[in-house]
Amino acid sequence: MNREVITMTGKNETESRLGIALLNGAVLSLIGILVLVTPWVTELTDSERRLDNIAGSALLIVGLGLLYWHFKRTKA
Amino acid sequence: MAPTLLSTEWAMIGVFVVAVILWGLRMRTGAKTMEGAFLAGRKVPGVIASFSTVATNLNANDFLGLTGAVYAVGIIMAHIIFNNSIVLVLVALLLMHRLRRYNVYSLGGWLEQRYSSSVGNAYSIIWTFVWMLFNLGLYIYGGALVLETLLGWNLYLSIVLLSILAAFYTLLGGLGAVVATDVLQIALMFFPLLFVGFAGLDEVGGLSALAEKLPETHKHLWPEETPFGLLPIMLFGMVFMGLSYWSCEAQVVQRPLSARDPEEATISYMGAALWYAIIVPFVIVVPGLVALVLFPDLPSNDHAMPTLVRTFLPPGLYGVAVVGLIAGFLSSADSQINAFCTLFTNDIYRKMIRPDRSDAHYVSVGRVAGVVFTLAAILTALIVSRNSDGMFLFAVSVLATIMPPFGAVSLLGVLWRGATPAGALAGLVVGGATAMGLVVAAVTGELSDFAARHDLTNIITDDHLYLRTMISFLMTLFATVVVSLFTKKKQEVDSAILDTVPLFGSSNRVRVYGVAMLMLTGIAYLFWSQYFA
Repeated sequence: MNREVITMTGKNETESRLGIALLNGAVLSLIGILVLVTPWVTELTDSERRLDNIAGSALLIVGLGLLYWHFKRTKA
Repeated sequence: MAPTLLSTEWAMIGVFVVAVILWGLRMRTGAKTMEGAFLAGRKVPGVIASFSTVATNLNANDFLGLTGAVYAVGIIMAHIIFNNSIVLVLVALLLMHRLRRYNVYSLGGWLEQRYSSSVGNAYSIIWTFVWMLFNLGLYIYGGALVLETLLGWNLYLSIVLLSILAAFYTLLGGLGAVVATDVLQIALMFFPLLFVGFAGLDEVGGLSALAEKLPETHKHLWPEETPFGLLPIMLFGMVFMGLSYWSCEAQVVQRPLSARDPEEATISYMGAALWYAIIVPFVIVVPGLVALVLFPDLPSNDHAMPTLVRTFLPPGLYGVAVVGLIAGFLSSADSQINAFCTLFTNDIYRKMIRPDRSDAHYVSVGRVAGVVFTLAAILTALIVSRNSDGMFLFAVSVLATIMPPFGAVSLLGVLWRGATPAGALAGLVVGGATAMGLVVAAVTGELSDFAARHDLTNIITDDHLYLRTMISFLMTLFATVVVSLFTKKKQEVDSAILDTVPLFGSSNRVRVYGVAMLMLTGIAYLFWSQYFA
């Protein structure tokens, strides 16, 4: 059983499955990209830019990881 | 003056809001039956339910209020967090697999099976009409305060907007939408606050330097006396409060009830215990202490966290923190709304007003009730906004009054087959009367006068909520046991519930997890005691 999904009805599991990873992965990726883009829309100090780069990259990696997981499970 | 958000930060808020709305729309197809709407079809994996448990319990009130309490009282508030970790394991092993096995919708349903409809109804009515209304109002106010403090938004407009958003996706998508968004919300809540914690620690020079710079009254984890009385009173009071909270609070109990099976129900609480032992101290306790060192003169305790967020997070990451704090509000408000709909529809409307209607009818009634409830909670939030300082301790004080009797009766029902329906009812009456009596004595000053007259000021302090919890919990146990000894047991239910279900956990696997979690919490205690003995 795919463990990262919620099955809503229990009657037709393949039809009613919804991957929690899909939308949440997309949102985390988008927010990560927005954090990474922020130094381009405002002036930041070096340390501030470094912090944004670390945070944005981490969010993007987690988001993309969730998306990868979702599509891998869906194919399986 | 609140900083102005950048376009990228506004975009983050937009992405997040659109996402939770999409979850509500996507999950509405599964929310057409009662189990689908109120318990996500009982198909939630334990690990996901554990994320949801943490997201439900930790909200804007905790990030503001509990951090504020640490700012006000010191490192001893860390005991609340570690106590949660221990108590979650105990309640998971004792109660949660049992509740899940009997397919009830709430603790009230189990109390009815174990004791009587009077006991179950007492729980449902008090939770639905007293605690939930107050609590959702508090959540809404906390979320709006975040927006006011961090973005400069009008408090009242924020109250209305946040309430509409929470109610929209919750009533549309049911618990499925709530759990799904909780997973996103927990990531967005904890991520930036970990940065705040570690950046703050870096600024003050690490944990050792933090301990050195704290005032003497705030730096000891194991002092003889605390603002809540002698240390053993505070610790035992916290245990009784934790046992009551994790057994009774409707919104958190829904997580194990929505789990796929009894073992997963146990895991949902065990996983939450892991968060409390390891991560929560860094996002709640450390920021509270850092704020005290760096900003000792804040106008209100509840400003500790927003001040740190503004100070330490650069533009960009600051936007994530704003989204995280909004998420913190939503993750608890949505749970409260869904829990209300469940209790009201199943335990009150279906049982007492209109039985034998279709699932579609009950789901519709739940949605209408949810709208009315949210409107009432907005009014409560407006009232709370007029007298809000130290809101975490105020909320805990209300809980300390209504929870212990139900917690005691629930746990006794598991541990002792001799507990009878009449005993439980007597316990609730005596425990409730004791709790209310202590509140009245506290408000009128009688309690303080009593302490002064009998030289008990180190036991009965000004903040006596843990003492009150302990007394009302023990009085409930005492009354239940005494009356049960002389009244008739509910035989058929006793044998069904107590004989066929293991006392501790549903499998060896979860028992091993439980022991591991307790050891981990012990290690966490040792770690923090090194710096704050």
